Order: sequence, then structure tokens, then C-alpha cells
Amino acid sequence: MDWLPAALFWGVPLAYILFRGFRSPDQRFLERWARVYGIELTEANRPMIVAYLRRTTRIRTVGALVGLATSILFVTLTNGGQSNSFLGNGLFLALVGYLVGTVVAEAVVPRPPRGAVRTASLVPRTLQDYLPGHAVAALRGLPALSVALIPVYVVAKAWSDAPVSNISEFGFAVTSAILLVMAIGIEVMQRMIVHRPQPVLALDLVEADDAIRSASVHALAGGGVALSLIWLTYQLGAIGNGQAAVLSWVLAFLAILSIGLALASWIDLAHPKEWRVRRHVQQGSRA
Amino acid sequence: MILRVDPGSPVPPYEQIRSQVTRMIASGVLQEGQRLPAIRQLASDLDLAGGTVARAYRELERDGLIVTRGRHGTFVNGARERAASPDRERRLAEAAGAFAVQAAQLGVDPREALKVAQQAMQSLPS
Repeated sequence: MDWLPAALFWGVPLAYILFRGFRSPDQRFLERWARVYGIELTEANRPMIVAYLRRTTRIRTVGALVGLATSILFVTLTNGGQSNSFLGNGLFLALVGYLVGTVVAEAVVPRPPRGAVRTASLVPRTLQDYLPGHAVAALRGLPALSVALIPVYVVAKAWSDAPVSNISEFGFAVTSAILLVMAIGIEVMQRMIVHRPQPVLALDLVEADDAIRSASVHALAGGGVALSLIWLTYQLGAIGNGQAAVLSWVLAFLAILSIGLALASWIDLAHPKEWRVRRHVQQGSRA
Repeated sequence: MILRVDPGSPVPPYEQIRSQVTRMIASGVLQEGQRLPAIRQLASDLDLAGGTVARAYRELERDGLIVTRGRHGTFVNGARERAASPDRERRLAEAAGAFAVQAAQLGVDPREALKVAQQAMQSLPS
């Protein structure tokens, strides 16, 4: 019966994740989703929303699970089940997988067809219409902060007599640079989602399409910000090791705060409680 | 505020865009200072080449109806700026000429034609 605690530890959350990721969106779920984005469910837009939610949730879940499995495999193969490396951080790789899943889902989700007469709305679309400004700022600022910590780590490692961390300065810098490139890639992807063609067939379809765009942009932002904060946690922990007690405690506190913020930001951004696409708010006021 | 472009129409797509935007501005659907979508967005939504939308925007700008403010985007011009358009009188004469030709082709009495024109003018928001 030695396997029972481990099976419960991994099995229960895994079963919950699989249930959440693979269930078909029921009426209650759809109504809640529509309320979040302030749209009305109609016979015309319902199939489009159901198809989007079903596919994206499944693909993102598979991505996150592949990331988690990679982490477990890495830890098992490299260090017999013990690892201090960020590649051994299950949450980190699960988020990477989630982000990859989000990108893949965007490529495979069906789009509304064009009519014989081409139509377009004269209301501009900008990233800030689909995502709160603080999320855009966090997605830009956190990787920049991570890069700014590279010289701090180099100095901390050079000045400390005690061993600071097992990660080299080069590895520290490369990972920060990868994070920066990832953040740029996420923003490019978000802009592609916002600017992809939107034929205007009916108002309910346009509103549903904009809600879908917003949900995808939110998912990318949630994953990106959480990933940046997890790396920041690791960086702060690495800098804090081997420092004077007070500084070490402060950095450890900031690292714990950062991991908490990572989870909170992923939950809050990827699953907003309420978000109205501003484009429609503007359009409504002028109609 | 929905643009419709019919690819099967004998009217070129850029002219379809230009005339619809002109009508929307004249009727007050598009208001002064309102931002228009970027050329790339409109071209992608209408499945047209960027150059087609750019030409429509260029002509609207030449007519003083819209103004491009660099990277901030393209905006609907105010009535004062429109009135200051250099070839305003020439374009007005052209439009009146086209109207007169159309009325004559339809065999409409000039007084009746003027009455219809006046009604059309009055139906626009002041």
C-alpha cells in the first residue's frame, strides 16, 4: 500500500484536471462564460462558442499535462527524483505546455465563413480593447525585470563567499533572454488574434467572435505573466541564497509572493470574472 | 457602421469604400474625431489588397473628410477642416453637374429636381 499516498497525491488532481479539460461545456457553463464577456447566447453564435470552448480547453489541457509529464520525466531521468533545476519545476513546464496548447488551439479552431458580399465593421480593433492595460504592462515589464536581474545575480555571485546557487551566470542570462523572447512572441500572437479577419455577418456573431478573441488573448496573457513570475521566483531565490540573513529573508519573502502572484494572475487573467470587449462598449455608445 | 463591398459590382472596391464612408460621415453615423480602422485591418476584414483600402483612404483624405495623424491612426475630420478643403468648390460643381445630368436623363422637371435635392439636403443632420 506504499503507492496509495502517491496515487492520491497525483491521481486526484489529475482526475480533476482531466474532468475540467475534457468535459463538454453544458448550458450553465455557457451562460456563465457569456455573462463574463457580456454577450447574449443565440442560436447562431452558440455552436461557434461551444466549438471554441471544447477544442481550446482540451488542447490547452493536453499541453499542460505534456509539460507536467516532461518535468516528471526530466526529474526522474536526471537526478533520481530530486531536482533543483527550473526544468524540474512541474508548474513551470505545465504553463509552457498550456501556452503551447493555447497557440495550437488558435490554429485549429474553425472561423466564421465569409459571405458573398464582403463586410467589415468600421470600428478599429486594438489589443487594449481585448485585454486590461495592467496585463499588457505586466507581460512587458516582468521579462524586462528578469533581464535587469542578470547583473544583480552576477554581482551577488561574485561578492558572496557562500555558494549562491547552482545555476551559472550564462544559464541565468539565457533563461531571462528566452523569457523576453517568449513575452515578445506572446504579444505578437495576441496582436495576430486581434487583427485576424473578422467578416461582419450579424451583430451576435461579431460579439461572440470578439469574446472568443478576448478569451484567447486573456489565456495567453495569464500563461505568460504566470510563467514570468515563476521564473522571477527562481531568480529571487537564486540571488537570495548565500546572502546576509536579512537580505536572504526579504528575497525569500518576495519569491513566495511571486509564486503566489503567478497562480493568482493565471487564475485571474486566464479566467476573468468579467470583461467587456471595449470595442463594443464604444460602438454601443455611438450607435 | 458596416462597410459592404461587392466583388461582383462594376464599381471598383475602393470607390465602394469611399462612397460608403462619405455617406456615413455626411449622415452623422461617423462623427468628427472618430477613429477609423487601420488600412491593414480593413483590408484583411474585406479580403482586399492593402493598396485598395489605401487608395480609398487617400481619396477621402484628399476630399478633406478624414485625416491621418501618423501612428495615432486615421480620424474623421471636423466640418471646419472639410470646409477648408482646397478644391471644395470644384468638387461641389462636379457633383451638381452629375446630379443635373442624371435628372435630365430621367426627364425630371428642373424645379422638381431642385426640390428633391433640397429634401435630400434637409434629411442630413445639421
